[in-house]
Amino acid sequence: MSPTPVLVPAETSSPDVDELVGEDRPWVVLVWNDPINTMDYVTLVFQKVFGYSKSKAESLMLDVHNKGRAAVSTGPREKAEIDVFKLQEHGLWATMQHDDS
Amino acid sequence: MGLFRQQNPVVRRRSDGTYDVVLDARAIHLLDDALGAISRLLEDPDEPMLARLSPVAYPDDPEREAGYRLLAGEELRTSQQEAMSVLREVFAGATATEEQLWAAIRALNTVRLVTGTMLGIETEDDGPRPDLAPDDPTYGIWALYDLTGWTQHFVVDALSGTMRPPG
Repeated sequence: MSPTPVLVPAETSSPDVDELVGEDRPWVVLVWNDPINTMDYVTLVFQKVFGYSKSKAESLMLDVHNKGRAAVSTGPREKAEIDVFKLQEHGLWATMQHDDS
Repeated sequence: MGLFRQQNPVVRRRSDGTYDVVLDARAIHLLDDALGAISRLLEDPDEPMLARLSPVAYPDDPEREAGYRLLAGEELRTSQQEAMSVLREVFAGATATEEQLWAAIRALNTVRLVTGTMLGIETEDDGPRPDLAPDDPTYGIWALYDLTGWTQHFVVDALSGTMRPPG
């Protein structure tokens, strides 16, 4: 079954500091498992949108399938938003959040 | 189920780089009806059956989500509408350029996401009951879900051939 996204909110010890640092921290684009999108379609979309090799795209697709989600790209907020848009345009369940790893 | 399933590839690449698209006339008719219905639903951004077409981008930040929705929501719907128009053109002409095929595969996926939502599909194992009767109200929706699945598979095959091997 496709899991519901449970996202850990960013730690906010001081709102002012967090706001300043927040924009500079990289964003990560996640794709979540969805029972409707087929495995070969998701692989193809990763190749198309990111120019990934077939093996890298397949490995990410399997992460989505087996682990429920995969981080497919990282970068500044504007780039992450464009990536999310392109993935959503292809019908994938894509979200973004700060990279707290 | 397997309604209209065909063994021969739906999409074949020609020597000039365009593609032949061959699909049973009844299947095209069914898809055409669905594309028209979804296209009308897309005029209402809050239509619950379309929830899977515009997932939340910022699940933990409602403010940024509102901004994203404002910027991208309309563009996303327009892009999906255009892709569905292209799919109809492709079926009407039984031929496609590579660019049209990329739009067609997105439109097939749109129909699959909407029919899957209507059928309440939550796991990979969800499927029609084996004893589902042709006069069951969900029969036609299952047929569409199945049809878009295997048709898309053939299009994925054709487009995979256009991807460059890693350099």
